[in-house]
Amino acid sequence: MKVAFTAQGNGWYEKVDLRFGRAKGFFIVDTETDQAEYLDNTQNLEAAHGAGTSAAQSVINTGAGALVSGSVGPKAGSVLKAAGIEVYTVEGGTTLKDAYNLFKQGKLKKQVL
Amino acid sequence: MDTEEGDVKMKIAVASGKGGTGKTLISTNLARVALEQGSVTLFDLDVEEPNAHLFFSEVEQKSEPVEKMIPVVDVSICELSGVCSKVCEYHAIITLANQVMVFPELCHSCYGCLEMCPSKAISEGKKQIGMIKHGAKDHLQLISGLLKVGESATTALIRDVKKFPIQKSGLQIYDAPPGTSCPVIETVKDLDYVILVGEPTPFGLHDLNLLVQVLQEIGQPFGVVVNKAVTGNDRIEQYCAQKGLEILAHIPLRSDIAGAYAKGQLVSEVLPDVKQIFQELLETVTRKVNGAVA
Amino acid sequence: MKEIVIMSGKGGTGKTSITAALGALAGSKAVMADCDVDAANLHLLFDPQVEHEEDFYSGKKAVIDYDLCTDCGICEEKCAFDAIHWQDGRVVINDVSCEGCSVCFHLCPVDAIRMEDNLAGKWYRAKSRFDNPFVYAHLGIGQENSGKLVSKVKQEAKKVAEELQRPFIFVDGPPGVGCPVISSLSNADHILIVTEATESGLHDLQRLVELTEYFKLSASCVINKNDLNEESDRAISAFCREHNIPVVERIPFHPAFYETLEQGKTLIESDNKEIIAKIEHIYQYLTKGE
Repeated sequence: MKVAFTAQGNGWYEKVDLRFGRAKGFFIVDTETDQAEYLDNTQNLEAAHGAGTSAAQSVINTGAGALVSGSVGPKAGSVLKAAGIEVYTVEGGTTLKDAYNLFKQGKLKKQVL
Repeated sequence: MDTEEGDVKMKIAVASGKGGTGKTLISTNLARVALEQGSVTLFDLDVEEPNAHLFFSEVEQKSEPVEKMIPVVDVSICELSGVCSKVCEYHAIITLANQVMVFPELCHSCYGCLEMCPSKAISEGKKQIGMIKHGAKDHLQLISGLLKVGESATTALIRDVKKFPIQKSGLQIYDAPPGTSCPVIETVKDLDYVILVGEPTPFGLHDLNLLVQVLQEIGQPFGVVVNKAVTGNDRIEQYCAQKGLEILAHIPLRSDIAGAYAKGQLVSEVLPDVKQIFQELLETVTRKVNGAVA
Repeated sequence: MKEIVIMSGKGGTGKTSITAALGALAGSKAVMADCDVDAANLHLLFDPQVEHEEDFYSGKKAVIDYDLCTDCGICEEKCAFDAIHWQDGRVVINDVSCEGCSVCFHLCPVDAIRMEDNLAGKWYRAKSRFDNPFVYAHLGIGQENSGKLVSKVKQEAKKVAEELQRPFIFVDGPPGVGCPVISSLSNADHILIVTEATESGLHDLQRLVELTEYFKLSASCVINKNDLNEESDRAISAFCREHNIPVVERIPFHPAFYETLEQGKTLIESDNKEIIAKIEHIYQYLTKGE
């Protein structure tokens, strides 16, 4: 399965971006191979309207089955829910590496959408 | 210029850069003194908090819903092409693997998805954005817009309220929403004249100046009324002199005016000296508008 | 670094007065950010020296290339915002009415319409007269505040705070509960809600608390003009208790709010000891533990 993290930059030691719609980018990790790829979110960051629903569409397009972020707003949340993507939350300041480990250990809190 | 009964056919707005400056005080009292000369239609376009009706409780208003278009997707025809989501600048319609989701709060009713759907699966749905309340008594017709709580389609609602049919020709007064953005521009754009209300505080002057710039940019004629005027404070006078703007009237900062207003009274009905201020204001504005036409 | 956002729902509650006074107390320790961009007033009290300014673009506007236009009129017919009109035998777009929906751009049969980025305003990095680094923005004619601009102002404020290693950011939040408000809440460490003892004050507080609870943000409350209406004051206190929101201060209606504004000063520059003590208490509450 692929899991998407909202990220402040590209790299395992970058931090999770607590914003969803206006996150800097998405860090996508394949849990079978631990391989990561980075998807820039500038386009949504720059959107005047609907950054949340538009970012949700981007995450869906990556084929991710789960998302880790700070908090997801109600509109984006309903898109992710309809697409069957589980949303997990982390504290501010967590690195992508730590967040990924916590995710694999099942220690992240699920956001009820 | 002689103004005979029913002869005044101008459209004027009362506007201010921020709420709480006395816009409604001025629009309602202007309507009151104008009723002595002929018919008046008062539009309350402060749609987030319309309260002009509080001063004319004798007018019974009926309500009608105002709706806007939102897309409705026919799932039996939809081929999930994703075109609607690509063309929507507001990200209000999202295509998933097995369905299309619509977000009415984000939709601006531009009809783009409906126009461009390759399988013609989108049709016109309706969503209520607010109400028009309307009623008349004698020579007064009162038309108010009321935005639904949580709705953001202020401009669309104002556009619809302005189209409501007027019963008798005569003076039309538009109580504009506060601010300097689209809703106020939509209100004033095709009217004859705008009365700007400003308070002589630093914040008040700052907000007045923003609205002056907007009206100058769109080329609307306007003049300024100083509300809560305090003797010795000539902040707005200095500003207007410097910018070459006309001051139409001063309404003093007085506890009897504030008190009457808070009780839901029309000050021009209880305070004769204030009534005179509004009569003179109406004459001044009438002269301005007719002068511009001639 | 702690980011504290000051919110109020509707205008007129004294939010900006309190924010400005907190900034004056903090001095160089706090970066100030004005996200109440529709009615940005903080700079009137801060007398800022601008160090950097930059254009800000948001949304799009349609532009017609008349070399290609064949005057077919499809754009005029399809524009849902009444922004395209016939004028002297050709179609003309009214910039103020154009909402940037791109429908005309997509439907033009000869590709004569392009969408250009819309210049929405400017943002500034400055220094206030209290030595606060200060980020604020001005909107262009008829432009509206957006989540994007709020994000930008907050992002720049954060950058400055990191660069200069300042422990606090105070954000003057936008009114309402729409997109700009949600943007101003994201990544915040604490929300201070300034409300007033009226029915609408309670209503606005409830709507804001719905948001802070949804996003699981820590929040506290200041009841301004608490003597305006005893019943509302009680109802607000009860609501706060129920939702575990500490009421940090209650400030009675006081002409100092009006008088200091009139002189372009902040509340802590007034000669009212009681109000100054209350503001200091709010400041200590917000900055404790740092």
